[in-house]
Amino acid sequence: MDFSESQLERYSRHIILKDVGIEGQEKILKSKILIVGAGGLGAPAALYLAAAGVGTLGIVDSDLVDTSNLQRQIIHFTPDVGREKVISAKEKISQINPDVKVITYKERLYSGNIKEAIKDYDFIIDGTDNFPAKFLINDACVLSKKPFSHGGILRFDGQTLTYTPGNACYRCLFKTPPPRDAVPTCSQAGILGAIAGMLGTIQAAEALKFIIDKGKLLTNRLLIFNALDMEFRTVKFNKNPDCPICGKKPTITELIDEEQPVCDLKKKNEN
Amino acid sequence: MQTYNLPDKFDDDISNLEELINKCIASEITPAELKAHRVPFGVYEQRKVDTYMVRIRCASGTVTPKQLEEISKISERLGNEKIHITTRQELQVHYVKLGDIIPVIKALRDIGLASRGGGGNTVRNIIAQEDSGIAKDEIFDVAPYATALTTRLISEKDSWTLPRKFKIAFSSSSSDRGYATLADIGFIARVKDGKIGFKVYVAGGMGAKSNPGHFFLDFISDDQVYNLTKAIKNIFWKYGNRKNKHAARLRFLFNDIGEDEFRKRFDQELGAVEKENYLPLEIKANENIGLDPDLGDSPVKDQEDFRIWKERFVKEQKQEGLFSIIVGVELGFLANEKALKLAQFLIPFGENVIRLTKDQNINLRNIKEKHLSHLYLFLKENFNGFNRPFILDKLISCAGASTCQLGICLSRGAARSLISTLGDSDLNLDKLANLKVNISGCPNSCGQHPAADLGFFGKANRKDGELYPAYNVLAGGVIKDEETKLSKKLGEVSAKDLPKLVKEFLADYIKAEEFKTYQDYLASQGNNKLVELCKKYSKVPSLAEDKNYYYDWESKDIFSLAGRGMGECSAGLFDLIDVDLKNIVQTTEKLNNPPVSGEARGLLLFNLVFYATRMLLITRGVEPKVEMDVYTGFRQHFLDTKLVDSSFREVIDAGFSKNHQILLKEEDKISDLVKAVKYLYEHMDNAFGFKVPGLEKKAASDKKERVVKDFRGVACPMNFVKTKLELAKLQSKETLEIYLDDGEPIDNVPGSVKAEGHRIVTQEKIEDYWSVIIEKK
Repeated sequence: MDFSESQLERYSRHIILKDVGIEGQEKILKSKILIVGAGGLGAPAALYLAAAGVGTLGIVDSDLVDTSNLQRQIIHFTPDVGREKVISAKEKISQINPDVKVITYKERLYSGNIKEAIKDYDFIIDGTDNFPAKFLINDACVLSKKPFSHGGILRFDGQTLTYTPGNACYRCLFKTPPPRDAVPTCSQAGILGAIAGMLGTIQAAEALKFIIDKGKLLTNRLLIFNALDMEFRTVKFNKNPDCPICGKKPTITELIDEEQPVCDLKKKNEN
Repeated sequence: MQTYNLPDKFDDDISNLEELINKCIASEITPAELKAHRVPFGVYEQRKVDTYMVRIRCASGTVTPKQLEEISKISERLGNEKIHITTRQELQVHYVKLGDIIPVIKALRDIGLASRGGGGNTVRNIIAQEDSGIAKDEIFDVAPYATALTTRLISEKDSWTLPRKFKIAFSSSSSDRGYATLADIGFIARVKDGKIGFKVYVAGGMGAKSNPGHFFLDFISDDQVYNLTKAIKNIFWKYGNRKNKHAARLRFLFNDIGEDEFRKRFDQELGAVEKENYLPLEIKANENIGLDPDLGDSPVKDQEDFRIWKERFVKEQKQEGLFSIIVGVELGFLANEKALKLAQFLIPFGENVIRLTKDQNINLRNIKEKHLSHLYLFLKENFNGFNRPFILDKLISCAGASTCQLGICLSRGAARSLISTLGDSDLNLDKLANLKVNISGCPNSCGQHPAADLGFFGKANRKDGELYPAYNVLAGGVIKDEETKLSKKLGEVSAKDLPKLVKEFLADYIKAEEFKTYQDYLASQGNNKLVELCKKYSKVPSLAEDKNYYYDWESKDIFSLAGRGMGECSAGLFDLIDVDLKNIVQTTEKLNNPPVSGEARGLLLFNLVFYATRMLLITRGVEPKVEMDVYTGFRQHFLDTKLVDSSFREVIDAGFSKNHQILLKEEDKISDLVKAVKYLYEHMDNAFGFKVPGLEKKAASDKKERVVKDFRGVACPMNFVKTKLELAKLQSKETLEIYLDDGEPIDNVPGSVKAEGHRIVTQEKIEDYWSVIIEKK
């Protein structure tokens, strides 16, 4: 419990909080959080978690920074265009808070490597932009008993839920990815940049609440908001006994890679 | 006529005080030790070295003419040239020498009066509205209750060891002229279903943080007055804050625990009190009848002046044919000679003729119409200015910085200047006869500005770096059953311009005849007028332009705050403990700085044992008279009860037998004894109980020194952050002591710590900073 003078000052506004305090800040400093995707959701989440003093941040992304990312992926700056997203993110995190240890993964997660990637982390943030990845993260976390925050954004809408072992999972709500073309992708539909910030910071707050073990998480609840009307609501849902992964008779016992298109722009970058 | 009865053991109390005074004169005890006993006896030190004021308890403001006669003689013989009437309906004798205190107290005893409870953390003088028993609007006479309650309470030992002063007031009607809605316990006479009794208010009071009393009970029958008082006194005794005298009055406890909890504790205490089957108070009605002394014929020549006087000062009583008369006494100061003559003039009129008033005047009663001329002629001969408009004598000022250590401004100087400004003006002052103008020299409400129609309290303002005396200007205080509200600040004015501002304001009020009441006037015009006048006088010239603004009234020195100190009025038990704490620190220093050896060291160690042994005896009600009492008291109350580990018995015995060999050998044990005693003190609760977490575990934790952290110079909120860091290192129920700066830090940090569920054990001001002891939740 050795807080340096400058740490005390840096985290003073946390420590003052009754629900954080010295004990809570200590937990944050010891915590390990993995952010999958250093994009619209991952960028604000990574910045806030870094500022909060999370001990270890893992960042997963295989992409390079593209000019079209800058409108919302605020961890990347104009000179970063063309650089690896994970490197760009790591630099910014170190500048915000040198206390934070950053581990980068310049790779795509799939059924073969995700379990290994998440195993050392206390909490996972899903900042991905496609359904196969979201289902993969859900399945891996359920099977590995890891808590995670799901997030999704489109146009002016956002949705998020938090999974902790024993509670309802993403598949309890959505059994399988939607059929191809049923949901437009980013490049087709667009996104208001600030929406990414709103949702990413909600995910960061959920992660911190989990770490300090205070408050009520978005478990068994789906938070939905529409920023055009600026209306927020939460929809309660229960653990689904027929859930293919966490139900009574699970049909998914091993990780699978669902089929879905990813953003066209990203595909282009991969090439 | 009997005023209150003196307690049976009063002579013993006087002897004890006498012994202490003699010891103090012989330098055997320190003045601080004496102070703790002297102040609760109603004896305060005055600014002039080695002189004291003795405050005489006058229940319901009643004194008999014979008592007044004697008091004026006592003052002439052992005090100075005048006596003083207080806002609590008491009389004071001033400038008594230390060696004369006991003769004064004994002379007072001989006429049935006591000063005990005049000061300190005690049941103070019980007041009743001055016209109770004769007022036409009253429900019944409440003065006999004030008297009977005084008799009962001053015979109870715990009336002298309360956390802070405790004020009780009676009013005989809802107009609340006794200020029952501003007292710790306030009783307002009422009749319900044919039974007489009282409506009760609690936890009100004026001070640095004034608040009106809270409505408590709609009705109690008159035979419940004692039980209710006793129950509330018990709550205060047990739960009041003894360590922070700035937040110790009952109103702080009430606010702290909340009304529901207060009522819950009241029900508990009342239940316990009722089981004791105390006798109800013995109420002896005061007879209000007019006597008929033969004073011969004394024709009044100046009939017009006589008529004006009657209009101003004479009022019909509810008893037909009887009259009450106000005798104005400027700022409450009455020359001994005048008091003597007035007393002697009144003796033939019987015993029930004098009431001292809250506005520091004298109210006479039970005078027949035919004697009004006698009284008029008597006053004309002996009281200069007896027929000037009443406002000039009704006006109240506290003592102010001339004699009070807390004072900021010379409020009496301002008051006298105001009196002469108004007196010299051509205003029709008789229209202001009922107006309450009150001036306090500082925020501590002794001039009762919160109750004022027009009030002031002193402050120090700065212009171009120079301090000048100034006053906050307040108005609109209302004291009445269900309507009581405190005056509100409307602006400020320099001390210099205060009289001018008041004159202009009152001129406006006198002119505005269309308003039924002063309140109506304030609401539609007066408040604005005051604000406007404050603005008008807001420009203060620089020191170079006009020096006068930088000198307070009647002062030859340029205004400064130097010499302000702690007030004496709450001196008590803790000062005694502090004396020994300081002794311990000093002795420890002498031991090691530079190290002393041999016989001298043995003597210092002996002293150390003595102070440690004596320090907490007072909390067990032991007041050692001789050295032996210290050791026997400690054995009985601390060793035998296992509050202190029995392994200390040997050093205590060695101290008793002055065995320096053992003391030298057991030096470590002695330092542990000091720690053990300090530890107990730190864990003392408000009712002198020691909350030692698990007595059996105590020895182990004794060895663990409490962490002390100095957060002076650390700004908000980092001081709180650092406090939390230190608390996080502790186990539950362990304590942490922190030092905080005055101002924002002390205003914020303890509250934040409390909000997190920890307990603030003590909070004390040390010089210009604060020590706060926190117990982890």
